[in-house]
Amino acid sequence: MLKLIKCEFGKLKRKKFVMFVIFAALLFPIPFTALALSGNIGDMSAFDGLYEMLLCIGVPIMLPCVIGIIAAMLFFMERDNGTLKNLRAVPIPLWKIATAKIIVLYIWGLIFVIVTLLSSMAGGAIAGSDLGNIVEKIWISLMTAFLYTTSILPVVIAIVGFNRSYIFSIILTFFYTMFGFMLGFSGSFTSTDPVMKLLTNIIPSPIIYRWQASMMIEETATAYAIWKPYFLPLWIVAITVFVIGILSYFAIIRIYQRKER
Amino acid sequence: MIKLVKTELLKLRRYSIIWIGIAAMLSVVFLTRFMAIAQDGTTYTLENFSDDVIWNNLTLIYPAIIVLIAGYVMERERIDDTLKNLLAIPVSFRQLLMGKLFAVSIIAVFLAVIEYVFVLTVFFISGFPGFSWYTAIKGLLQMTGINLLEYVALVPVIVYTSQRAGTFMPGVAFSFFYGFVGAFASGHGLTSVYPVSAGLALIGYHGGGSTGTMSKWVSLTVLLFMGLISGIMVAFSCDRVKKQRRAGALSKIQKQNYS
Repeated sequence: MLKLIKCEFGKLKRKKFVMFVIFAALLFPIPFTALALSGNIGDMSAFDGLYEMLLCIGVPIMLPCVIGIIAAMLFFMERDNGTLKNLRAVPIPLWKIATAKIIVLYIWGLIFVIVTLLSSMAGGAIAGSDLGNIVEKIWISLMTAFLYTTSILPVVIAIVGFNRSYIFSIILTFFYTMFGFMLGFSGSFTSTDPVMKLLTNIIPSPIIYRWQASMMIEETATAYAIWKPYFLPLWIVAITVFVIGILSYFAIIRIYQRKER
Repeated sequence: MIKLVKTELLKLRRYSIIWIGIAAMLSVVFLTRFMAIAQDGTTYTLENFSDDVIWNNLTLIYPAIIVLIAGYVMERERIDDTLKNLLAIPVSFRQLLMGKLFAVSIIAVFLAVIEYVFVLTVFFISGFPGFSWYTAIKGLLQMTGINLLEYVALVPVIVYTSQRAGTFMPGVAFSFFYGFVGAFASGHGLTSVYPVSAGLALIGYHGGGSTGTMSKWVSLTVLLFMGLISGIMVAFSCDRVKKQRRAGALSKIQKQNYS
């Protein structure tokens, strides 16, 4: 499996994707650092403000998009180059190939979040603030990477299932990301409408957002009392996202095996 | 130039990308209608529903979609290997690019009209109150205006990516980010200064989002500056694809990826 993962990384190297991921991860830190430097982050320290903006806005927007694009590249690569028959002749089972590709998605998710974290540290250092509780921030970042990467797996089912063009895959990823982000960021989970309640409890983005909010809003803040009823503990979020992830994983494996027969 | 624009519009009939634009407009209207469900107690009229659609389109969907369409029509010349034939006629790369930019501006207007048809359809189906012909025409003009003015802010991205093969997808990702940051710029009193949102002051937008104070003169200056940058970029534009890459024909399956 390790060799397969290494091979998948080797394939992406040809596409110069490392630079694209780093470029995408550094897009949001630039304007957000400018906001932090101009003092538009309330009474938080520059690093805290920057970190929270990046993790609650930058990552939920950019990470699923980047992971969706990488997924399309990885799953279409064998089809485009006609190399799947060679891999099967080795022989390598299709489920192993698909699993290696999914693991690569998680590693890219991790790289993206680490670059984001480092950029927020750099932004905080530029603004002259200390790093505060850095261990907890690293932990939240790692969990965020894991949760948001898992959240995009239902889209990967569609990418593999429809087996269409890159444009279709990217548009699908964009719409899914925007829809999830709007449900979370606009606070739609506070609505009393039953449809909205159902959607905000099964779509990963608003669920993850509610956990992130519980970690980021200070108990002394006025928003805390308003938001507290909607906070979700990590274990509920992790179980929900894990169930979505595991179902998506089996669906991807099944569709990938059937498609390439 | 008119012939070039006409040719580009004829080519568009072959491409399915225009349907992605129409689907995007439909999705932004549906997204706004869907978000309206969550606004417990808010009464939607044609005016504020139309305002919310303009805001969501401005910051979420339109920048990526219009750059995608523009990038795609340019990329197809390379994928179909027709760029070399056009350059041999000779149609210069600059002329071709200008023709495509004008054609895409017509698409921007077309998408605004389509978007407004969807707005009216959803408005009547939802049974929202507050229809008047004045509001309806104002909404249509605002959507057309903002699509064109935002397009001006996006032209430099299109010109940059058009000159380099295979870069239009990163361009789409950047435009998505560029548009999204507009929401934050507006929230910090920079609506007129930030190119993507500058058009809001010029169309007389007052609803949805948090636009803060806007200045028509600042907006006009910013957009004129963006137009000037675009003009300079177009004047110095050329096909910057390496010769060996241009010579390599694409496989059938690779062509399918973009069709």
